[in-house]
Amino acid sequence: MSERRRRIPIWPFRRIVQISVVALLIALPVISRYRHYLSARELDDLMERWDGSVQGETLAFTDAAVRVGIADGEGGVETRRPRQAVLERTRQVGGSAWSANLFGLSLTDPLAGAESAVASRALPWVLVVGLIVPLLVTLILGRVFCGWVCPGGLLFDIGEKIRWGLRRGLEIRPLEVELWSATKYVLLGVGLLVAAVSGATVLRGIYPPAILGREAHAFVEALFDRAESGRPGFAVVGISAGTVLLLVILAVEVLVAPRFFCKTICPGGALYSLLGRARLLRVRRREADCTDCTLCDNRCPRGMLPMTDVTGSECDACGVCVDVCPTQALVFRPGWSGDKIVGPSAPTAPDPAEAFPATGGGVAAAAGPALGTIAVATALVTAVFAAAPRPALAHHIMGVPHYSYDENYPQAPVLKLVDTVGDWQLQLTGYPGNPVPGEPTELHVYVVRELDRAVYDLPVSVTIRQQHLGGSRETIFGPADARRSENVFKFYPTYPEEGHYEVTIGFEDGAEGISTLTFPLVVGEPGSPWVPVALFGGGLVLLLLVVRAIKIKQARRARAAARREGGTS
Amino acid sequence: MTRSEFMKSAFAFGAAVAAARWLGASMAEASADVVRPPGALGEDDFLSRCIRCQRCADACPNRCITAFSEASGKQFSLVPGPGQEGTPVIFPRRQACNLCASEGAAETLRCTDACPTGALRVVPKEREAIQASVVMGHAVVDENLCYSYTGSSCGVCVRACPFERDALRSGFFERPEVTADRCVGCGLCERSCVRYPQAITVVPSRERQR
Repeated sequence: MSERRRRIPIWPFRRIVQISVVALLIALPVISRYRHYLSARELDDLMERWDGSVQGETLAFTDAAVRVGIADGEGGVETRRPRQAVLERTRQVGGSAWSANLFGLSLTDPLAGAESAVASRALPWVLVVGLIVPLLVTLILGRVFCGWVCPGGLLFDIGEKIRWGLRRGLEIRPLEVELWSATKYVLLGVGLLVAAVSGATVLRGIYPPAILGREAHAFVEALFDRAESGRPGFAVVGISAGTVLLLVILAVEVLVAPRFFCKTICPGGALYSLLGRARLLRVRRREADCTDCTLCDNRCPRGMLPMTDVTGSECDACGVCVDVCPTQALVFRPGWSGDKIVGPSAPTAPDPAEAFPATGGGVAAAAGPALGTIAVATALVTAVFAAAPRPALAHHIMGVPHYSYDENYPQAPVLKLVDTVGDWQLQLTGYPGNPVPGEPTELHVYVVRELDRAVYDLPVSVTIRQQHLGGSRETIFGPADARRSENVFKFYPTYPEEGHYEVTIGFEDGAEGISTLTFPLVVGEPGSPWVPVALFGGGLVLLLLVVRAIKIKQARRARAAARREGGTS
Repeated sequence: MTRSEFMKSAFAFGAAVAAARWLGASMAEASADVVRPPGALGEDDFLSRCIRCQRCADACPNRCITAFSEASGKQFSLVPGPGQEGTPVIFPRRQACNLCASEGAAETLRCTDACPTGALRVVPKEREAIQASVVMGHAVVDENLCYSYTGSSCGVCVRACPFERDALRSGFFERPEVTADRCVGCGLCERSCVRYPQAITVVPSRERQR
């Protein structure tokens, strides 16, 4: 065996693709933001204003990256930023892992397509166009999306590493629950049935690529919104229940059931498995080289058994078994049927009579899919970079006065809360929309009868209370009365500090006496009381684990020393 | 399968279908009325068709399209219904749709071109096509609040309207007069209004049809 050439491992290629996908998830919304600022002629100002913060650095990095290959100068001015060319280039990408546009190539997840088509009972052409490439790839290569592209797959790979660390370094033996692997097909069927009957799409709610795509977008949006409202800098913002769900799944994977999600729950994985049943490229075993060592069977993250030729439709072409095989009996080979290669062992030249003619030996066959992906990506990037810049065009169309979003008439308050009580509708607006603690603000209350649009005429009172941790409330403004002025009631509160407030508006409602309405109001970015608790708890657990790891290590060292002593004496 | 078994499973299937239908109906009931990107199908069809991929939001040069969430709707008292989380929405107060005015070279409205499922129908960037097929909602003037109706003269909204003298006309003392049939609901008037609470606001349309 020793004379056999070393094979190029597959896993580095797979990790590169997976990490690129995660980078894209963040990069696509960032590029969208960048394009917006550039389009609004705000980019230079903002990069200067946010210099040194994560937003400023991200914009500067994006600027440098998307301008590669575009010469400066536009409209005859050499020093001018090549705005139109850069804009045109940034328009080439967008979306998430759920559906994306990469250099004009529309890619839509088959699960998204299936659910959308079934729920709306329509199969529009745009949807078909986006499904072509993913469907072809799956039909030929099988469930490669799961193993190579899905960001959830990467997350759960990390979970497996944590599991390994627990066993190895901490001597904690996590549970190993096996679930019924056909559950995912049932879920897929039920989900599509619900979609068909009710028109509601539900599967996207538990599908990791869809969740991660949305969360990445929400995070980037919130981060830049935060900077726009005067708080550049990093913060964990914008994430929602989807992240919590993924972390819970990760925790279950680490502690209870390894890889249970991909194997038994994921409806997208189920769809890919079904589509990839008759795939052409699969892991095959050269029987003559196999030593029945079971290494591959033990390592397969999908629970397949390559050693006994059980690499069914669930195989996601991750290549772990191919990498781990000490005799290189397992290879990726194209072909129409079967998982077994009968015939001479690898170093021999391929025999024409062989059932599965080699495409160029084990090395090329192993690295084939990865190199192909890289080649396609490189070709696409080159094609875009070679595209000629478009000439500058007028931007004053249809009479809309939009040079910049700052020039879009005065910056207006963005707070507008609406509620009704009885016949009356209340509107509460505040200026500025994001109040600054310690600075005076304006609150305008508008009370109007819904029936005849009559404005409320008697005085209105406002009380503002700050909500402290633990539920106690402190009045910081009012109760203050105001008379009607220009058909609204104006108040000028000052919020002492960042925090959660409630604005209670009281007015006399003819029939029912005094009516009150309470609006929640958040000033600044008050921290959640759970953050310190979670940090403390997490830190404590981490500390205990580290202590345990050190103790185990010391015990091991002591044992080893004792053994050595025993051997010498 | 015996007849009683068949009856039982048929009954269970019928019950499941009824439950799913009820789920769909109650979800539609609880959904909030919001302004959707141009070319959007009627709300029920839209929610079935849309896969929440954010491609329209990424494509929007004006970044008026955002994902509907509790956090994004909070400052406008809008809470996403059960099926609306993550769907593309426009809050004109925050940023209105400028019908891709800054996109000189565009042949279609960018978001409608980006949609991979047809939840947004492709809208050519032509005046007539936009007015014929885009119904995000229509503008409504509150005469109690509008400066031009309460003794001053303003006219900011009329000048912001991309269909000036058609959808939004300037009357006596620059009073805005809306022709609902010609208004696409882009919200530029609401965005431009200098009064607060806004005197002119877009009332979203659920059916989004002329």
